[in-house]
Amino acid sequence: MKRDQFMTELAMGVADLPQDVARDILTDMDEYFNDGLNQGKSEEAICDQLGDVDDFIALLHETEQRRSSSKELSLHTTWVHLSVDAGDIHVHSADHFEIKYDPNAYDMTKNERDDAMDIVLESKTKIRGMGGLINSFLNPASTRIDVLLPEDVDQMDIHSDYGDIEIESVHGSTISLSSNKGDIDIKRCEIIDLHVCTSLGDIDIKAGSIQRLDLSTNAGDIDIEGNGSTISAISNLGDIDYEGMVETIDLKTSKGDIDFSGKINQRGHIQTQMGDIDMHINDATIKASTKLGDIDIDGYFENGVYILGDGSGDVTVSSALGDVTVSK
Amino acid sequence: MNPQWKKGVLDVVVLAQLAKKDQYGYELCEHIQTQMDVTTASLYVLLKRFVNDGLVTTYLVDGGGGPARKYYSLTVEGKKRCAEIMEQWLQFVSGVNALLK
Repeated sequence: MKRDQFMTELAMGVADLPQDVARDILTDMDEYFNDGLNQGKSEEAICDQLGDVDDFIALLHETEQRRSSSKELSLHTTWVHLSVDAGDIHVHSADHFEIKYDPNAYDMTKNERDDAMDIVLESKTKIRGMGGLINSFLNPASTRIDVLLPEDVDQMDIHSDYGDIEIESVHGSTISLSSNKGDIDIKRCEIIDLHVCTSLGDIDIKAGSIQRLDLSTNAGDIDIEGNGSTISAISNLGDIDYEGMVETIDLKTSKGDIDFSGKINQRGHIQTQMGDIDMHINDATIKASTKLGDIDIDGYFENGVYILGDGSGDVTVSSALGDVTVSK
Repeated sequence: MNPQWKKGVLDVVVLAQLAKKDQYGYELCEHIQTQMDVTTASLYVLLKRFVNDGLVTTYLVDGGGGPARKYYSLTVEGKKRCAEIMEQWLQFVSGVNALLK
């Protein structure tokens, strides 16, 4: 067989494979023929070495099938969206993916898209909204939902309209948690990107490490204990407490107080409209302002800023109506 | 050579070749085909599987005027697998040899 015939038959045989895969094969074989000819081989000798073209095509299809099916398996479990209308969600790490719920309490709809899985749990209670809430008071066992999460699920969105979300010992890359009325609790998790949003609930984060943390609540308090690289926490009516070491941090509330204790390596913005700010920090360069409150900072004042310790970390602290207190 | 034997050892042969140095397709096939009766097609498909499984990665090198050449290279995982499978193979061969003597 000659090169042209081999390549034509091969091209026809792989035409039904994905375009980039087919193109790759033909380019590789062109390269192989060129190298063989440059070594002084005849086209026939190269074709003989390649083997039967139909066997080759069959092998290529087999390989491609194996590739796409293994791709499907892994991708189906890498991105999970879970939405629940009423109920408490508990997420734990495990060696397999599973959602445990009471089938008497919920109807489940599962939708698998090419790269993700959407799961919706809907309460069987006919009255939506408050009905679900009442149901959860009457029968607390039936509205507990457990999510077992293996490490290869690294993108997860979880939402509960009425109900709390608790996640414990989870390792992940991107996780979003949201609730309308519930509290959100995060314990001993190692997460790269974490977004948490609740309207009326509190947010509590303990003992873990989160690189980029983005939190917001309208009426709840925020309590964070742990280190991070970038942290942003916003509450409208609640208090914010932070304890740990961080590169950059933004803490903002309208009506609440802010307590900070720890270290800011690069930059911090601490801001409240009506509350007091209380900070314990060893090293910082602090620019502080208040309209009606008192400023009491345990550092020396120079060129409009207070220097504490070696002065590393630029921190802006402001309260419109409250007091600002900073000590070591 | 017994085709069943060949199938079993091809994995270790290809990984061991790439453990020596990165090679382009023709070079790798020639090295193996001087010692073993095996088609280029089966070697190529094996390389593709290794790439899909993350054991081997490829990169292009400019062909000095001509078209670029694709080089095959072991990944960290590929090196690990190669060491494991080579050890298994050597154990197996010495066991078989001991029984044949």
